[in-house]
Amino acid sequence: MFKLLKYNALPIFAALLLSACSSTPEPGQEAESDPMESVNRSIFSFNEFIDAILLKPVAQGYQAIVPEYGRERVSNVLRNLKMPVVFANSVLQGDPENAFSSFWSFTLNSTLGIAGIFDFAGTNTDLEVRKEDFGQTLGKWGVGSGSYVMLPILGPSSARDTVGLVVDAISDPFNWMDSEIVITRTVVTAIDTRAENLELVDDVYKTSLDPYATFRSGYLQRRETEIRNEDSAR
Amino acid sequence: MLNRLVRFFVVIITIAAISPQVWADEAGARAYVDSIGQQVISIIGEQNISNEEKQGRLREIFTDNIDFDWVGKFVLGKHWRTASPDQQQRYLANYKNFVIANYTSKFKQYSGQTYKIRSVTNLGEGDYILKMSIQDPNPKKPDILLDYKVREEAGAYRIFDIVVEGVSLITTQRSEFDSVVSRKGLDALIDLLGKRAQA
Repeated sequence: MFKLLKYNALPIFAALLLSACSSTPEPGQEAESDPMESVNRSIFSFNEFIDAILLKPVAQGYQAIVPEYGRERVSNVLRNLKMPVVFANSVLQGDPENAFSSFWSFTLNSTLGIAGIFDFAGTNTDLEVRKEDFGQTLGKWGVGSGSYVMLPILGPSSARDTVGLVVDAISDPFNWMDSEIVITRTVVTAIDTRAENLELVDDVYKTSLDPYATFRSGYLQRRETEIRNEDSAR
Repeated sequence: MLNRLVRFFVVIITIAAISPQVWADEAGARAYVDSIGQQVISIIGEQNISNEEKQGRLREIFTDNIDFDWVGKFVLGKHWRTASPDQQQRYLANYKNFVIANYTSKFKQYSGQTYKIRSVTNLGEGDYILKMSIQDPNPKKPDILLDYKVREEAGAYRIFDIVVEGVSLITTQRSEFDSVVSRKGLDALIDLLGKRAQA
């Protein structure tokens, strides 16, 4: 699987990265950074369709059937599994504080928190972990977001962040396990994420005059906030 | 030597004269947002008035405290200059109704959150950004980061942007409106705003 990625995907990576070296769009004028807008809109319609018939109903069912306590446990486990990637990217960004927090959070939660089910570190220590990923690392290093990309199923992304997603997927040690486990994790992550965003997405559809543009602007602004580490009160 | 001393005192006195003004303005911005926050929370928390009455009072607060002319113009971006005076007028009227209708109804989702002003920063030219965090009554839920951008003009403060978790409302709206006008035209946008204001 890795061989395939290495040889076939390398030229695609390079192209994406080169296009990503362009600057980040000015907020409010994101249409200028969306040269693939018509393609993106088609993919967006496809995503809306899949969401309506599959993802949203499953997420709503999940929210209705599984009590909040259970859903919290699931979120905790998923968040804990992300810690190695957070740690690695904190190191790459030269952020020893977050590297320390993520390392110890992971260690404590995996052991005393029983495989991440309980957020021992969150409730018993002052450790605060900010989520980091390779897309943010690239951003920190000065790579602009590049063209806006609407990924099938995964949703809004950018040229840079797509590269980030792939690098994170490859480097995540939990993705080196049995493919059944990896698939289960991916599916559960999708449901958990969708369930957390049910209200937000409904809100956008209620107030927006062009949901595609709202998601695009919101996504790009949010990424800039995350790269500047303004997404936590620290 | 005497010259230097005099100059030194002049500098000190000038700084002393200006600084309280600067402090007063940042404190003024903070007091302003605090008073609005209190007003809004007290209206929402009132037990003996109907939801319609609440929405009406919130509408008043919105009208008095948001600079709709400036925000409307900003949000329309480059399309404002190419609009006819009649379009501009209709647009501003519909825009104001749209924002008020859509955002005053949100009070129904309020469930006892409290807010804390984390910092007040002077952005220059009378603009301030107040960074707040909204605490959910459920301690397990994370705080929401919310910023208000406030502008002081002739002694009065007004809100010109709300930033939720790093996403600016006026920036997002500008993107939306630009998209609608580019694809469907300004009249379509004005009509859409009018329709959505009934919601």
